Amino acid sequence: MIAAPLGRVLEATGYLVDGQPAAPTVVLTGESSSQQNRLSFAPDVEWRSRSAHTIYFKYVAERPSKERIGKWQREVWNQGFTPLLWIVSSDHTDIYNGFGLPRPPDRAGENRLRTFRNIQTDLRQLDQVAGRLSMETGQFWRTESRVHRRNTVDRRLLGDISVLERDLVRAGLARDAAQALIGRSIFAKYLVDRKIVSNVLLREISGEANLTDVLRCTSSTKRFFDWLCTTFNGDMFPSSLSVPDASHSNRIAQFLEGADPNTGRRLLFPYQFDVIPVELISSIYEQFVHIATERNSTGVTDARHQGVYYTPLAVVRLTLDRLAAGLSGDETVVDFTCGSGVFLVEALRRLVAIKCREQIVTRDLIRTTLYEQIYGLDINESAIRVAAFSLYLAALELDEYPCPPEALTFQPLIGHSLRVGDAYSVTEQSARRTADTERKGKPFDLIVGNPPWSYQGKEGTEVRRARNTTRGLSPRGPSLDFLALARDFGQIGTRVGLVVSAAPFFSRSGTGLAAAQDGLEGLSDIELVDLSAHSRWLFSNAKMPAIVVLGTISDAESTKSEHMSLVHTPWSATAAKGHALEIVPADHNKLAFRSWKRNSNLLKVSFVGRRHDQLLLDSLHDAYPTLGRRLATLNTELAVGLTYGNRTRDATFLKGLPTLERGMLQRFSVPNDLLPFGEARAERPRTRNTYRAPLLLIQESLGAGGRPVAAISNRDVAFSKAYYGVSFMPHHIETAHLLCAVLNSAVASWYFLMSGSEFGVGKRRLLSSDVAEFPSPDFEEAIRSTNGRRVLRAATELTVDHIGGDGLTALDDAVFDLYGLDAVDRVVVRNGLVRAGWQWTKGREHSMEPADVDDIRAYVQAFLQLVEPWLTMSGQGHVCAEVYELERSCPIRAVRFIIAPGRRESRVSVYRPEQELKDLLDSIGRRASVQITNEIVGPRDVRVYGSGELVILKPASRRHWLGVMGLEDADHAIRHSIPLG
Amino acid sequence: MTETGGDRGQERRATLFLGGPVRAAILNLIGSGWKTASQQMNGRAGQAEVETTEYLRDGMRDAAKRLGSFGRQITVAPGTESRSRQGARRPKGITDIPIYLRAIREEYDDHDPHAIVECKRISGGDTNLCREYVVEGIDRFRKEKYAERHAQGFMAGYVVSGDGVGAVRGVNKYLKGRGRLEEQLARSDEVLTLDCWKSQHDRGVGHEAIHLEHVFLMC
Repeated sequence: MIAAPLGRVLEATGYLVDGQPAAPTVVLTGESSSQQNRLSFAPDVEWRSRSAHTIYFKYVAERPSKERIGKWQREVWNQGFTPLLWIVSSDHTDIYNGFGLPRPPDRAGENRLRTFRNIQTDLRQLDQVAGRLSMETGQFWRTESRVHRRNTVDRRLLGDISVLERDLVRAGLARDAAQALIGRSIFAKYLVDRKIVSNVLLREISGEANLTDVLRCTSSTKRFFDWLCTTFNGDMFPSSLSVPDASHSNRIAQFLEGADPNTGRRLLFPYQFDVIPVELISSIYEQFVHIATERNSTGVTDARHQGVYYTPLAVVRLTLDRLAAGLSGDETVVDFTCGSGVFLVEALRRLVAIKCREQIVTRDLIRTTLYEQIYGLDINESAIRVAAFSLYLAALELDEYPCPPEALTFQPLIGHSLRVGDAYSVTEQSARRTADTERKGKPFDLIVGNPPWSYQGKEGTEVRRARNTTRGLSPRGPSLDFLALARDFGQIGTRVGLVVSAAPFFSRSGTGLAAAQDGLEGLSDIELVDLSAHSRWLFSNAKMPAIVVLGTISDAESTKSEHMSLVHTPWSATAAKGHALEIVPADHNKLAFRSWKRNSNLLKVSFVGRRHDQLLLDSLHDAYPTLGRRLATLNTELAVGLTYGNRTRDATFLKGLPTLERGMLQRFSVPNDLLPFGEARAERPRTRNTYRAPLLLIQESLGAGGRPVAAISNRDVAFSKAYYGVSFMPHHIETAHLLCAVLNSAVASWYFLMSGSEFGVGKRRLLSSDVAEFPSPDFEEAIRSTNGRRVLRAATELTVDHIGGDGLTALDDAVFDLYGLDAVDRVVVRNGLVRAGWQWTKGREHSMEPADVDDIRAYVQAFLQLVEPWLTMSGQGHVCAEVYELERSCPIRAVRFIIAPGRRESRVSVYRPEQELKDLLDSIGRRASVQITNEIVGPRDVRVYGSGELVILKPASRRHWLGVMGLEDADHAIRHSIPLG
Repeated sequence: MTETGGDRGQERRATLFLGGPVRAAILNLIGSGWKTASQQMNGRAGQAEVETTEYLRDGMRDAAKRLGSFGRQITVAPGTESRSRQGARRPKGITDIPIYLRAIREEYDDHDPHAIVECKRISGGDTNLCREYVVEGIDRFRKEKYAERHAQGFMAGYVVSGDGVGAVRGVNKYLKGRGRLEEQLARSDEVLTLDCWKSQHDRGVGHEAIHLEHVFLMC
């Protein structure tokens, strides 16, 4: 039973409708919530997004004391995935920052974000700020900057234990030993916090009742660690382990007390290891070990050198979420590069959860799952130790009554289900010793992991080549090799989920692409999840974007008829600030594997673009030969600029030539004040003819906003490798100018976004192969044509001082005419330029701003481009479109299309509804007999078809209201009138 | 249409239902196409069925293109075989004017025609042509030589003498004579600007009935 004031607040903010949850994301928890059984804080209601974010709603008749608030907020913060805590009293609703660092009781109010009175006007504001629709659509994250994952328990703990490790190393402890000591201390603290080791027991064992006191006494520490070694096993606490030096244990004790190591002053120790989710602890420890890995001689951490990147929990969950459907719980799981076991921990939790649907959780069930179903390998011994630690923690966490401690002894995992070594050595040398010893040669059911991505030098490639003689090798790192390996360890039906480098998938390099395609052969139910938009927070040090490959081992014939499911997870404020990945239906696309084999361009456009991008790309490729071929007919070619590098070749022939270095080129203009070339030698000086005027110069990196930068030089200019150049014959000067204009246009920007190897998937540059593939008209014919002359005129009018919106728009229009683009194509290309801008922060933020009426009008016009001809041809009426002008802070936008009788032009009108959003949605829903608010779950589109009308509701962000989305929605509406039965 | 061999193919695919606006658009496309075709044929329209159909097809394409993006959403293809059944390797008939809708092809990756227009010369006073219209036209839909998975089909009658109403009378008379009263053509208001008629034909247990839209084009 929900208290009346809480019910009123939740009704007003859309979490409840008529006293019931408004959507499956809202859960009435109450006091009995078993999830909360270790917390003093028990919420009354929860909202849980599919990406694991949670909001707690708690009712108290009187506003609680600071102490109480501080305690609750600390527990919530330790859970790690709760951005907001609502405390509702009879008069007020206080919103607390669940990601805010816990403060001492007297400062608990610092984490209060806002207070609202429980009156209509305030609740309306609250609804706009953090109501259900605001949370579901992600609008909350756009406006609230104080709630950010940088302050969460995992980030903070990671920072603290990194400092702790640094101090221990400075105090003379070897790095490995420091990491091991920290791991054991966290494990011990977990046991104490979880009350597996009570204070009484601790005193019995060590003579001290408090863990920090134990650590401050060498003999107590020894006794306690010995007891742990006996009680658990040697994996975590090897008996050979020496007792830590007093200064080291003292520093650990300081950490556990929250004391400042410099002043000794006690601060609030924010961590509650009995509350922090165990998967988060193992993820934190994995990050810690990764960051702390000793630097090698080249100054690069070993982990980076090996191309190893820790796997964020969001990626682990995403991968396992998508593999989990239909599992029985009896499956075996292996990770060949398990690191500290973050995949294995999550897999263990899920397998146990599945089994528990039909069985009671017992220690035996948990342990059997751990020993017989979870397998890991890693070349790094300390990583394997951490994996064991993480799995032990997970098993204890799953154990509802983990006592008495003596009954908790684990079987050793290391050397059994966890092994040090690489998967190849297991295959080749020891005849799959892991498999033979523990698995009796049986193939695995699930193969997961995040294998190394980076190029490992010629030596590494040689090793890979020696292992792999039958398939193409990816030139950019070994991650794809693991797909082949998965087939060796699996069988028909084995599910695979691997995080690999995305680069080969989008590459124009024959070998990279072939390796990616080979890697997928033999899989069915293929799903590729592109994570490139999230590289900054997922894999911040990686040089390449990531892709998750999911599939089921099958025969090669099945792959040939496979329709791959492609998921492009776009950048969003929710992901950037909340570090959560949420996939919605609009992010999905499909591509036949055989189509990709036939035309490699299709994969990129299917990820980055929409259906109409794909259609236009196809038609341009069909209609126009590539720039490379066009240039060949003019006896010239695209050249890459000079590389200074190791300066091994003579470059004196360039002496004195004005030289264009990185960042100097401007659109349509080469600076006059270039410095002369002064080097005698260069690694790749190219030839003198490369630099001969008239010279078309194209900048490798795109201009801010996504438009390529090109200019013509009428004098010979040497240019660095930051540019590509085409040297034309003097009588082809007009051709050069025409091409320059086209390359500066929105058509080029859109094309490179949709087909470039790297632009749009983590990088902002063009490769020479991207430029060479650009579909190009017949230049000679074009410069004689009216449209070609218009392009040249538009370019001439664009001077350096006057390169702005109008001039470029005129240029774009002229180029559209040159390419014969119709109204639909123009929507696609113009939106392509906007989407290219999303590769920059400014563009991304602009895309998340709420759409205004003009944005929605443009969307409607695009929609009508496709729908109107149907109505004209059918003679069944015309469209009246109503754009609802809602308040800027409203989390959604809505458009209503009505088919009205009579043949006339469609009409778009703006309608400012008098009623509140909730009432508006209710009235729309009543007409179609749909409870609309139930349908809005996550940042997804909702289409409501009524009699002769269609209402489209989407999150307010501009990116949902682009014209290209209007085209897609129009296709949907047309398809809706052709159902399959 | 030309007949070829047939087989029962394999698994039956989901039935395709065309909504009212789509049906009306196809009928109007036939009507608009006919305006162009009959002008271009300079009085020869209807004399030779195959040639007339070629002109009609071109006329329909021109009409679609005139509406901008509509031309990209609908494809008026040359006469082609239809494999209503998945995996059928011996299609049973070649359609006169197969129509493809981009929305269907993209969503379901379906390359079989999405709407079929069967063309026949007709004259109400010519029993032979009326019989041909039924046996070589309507019955091809009814007996599932094609359009097996379509809920709707289209017939264009080239009225070589008399008018559309007379043509309908002739066809209905033929149907009545064979006891097929329920299958007779009735006036349709699907498209008010065209002389449109409709009929419905059972295709046996477990099969959707086929609804035919008839448009009579004056030669």
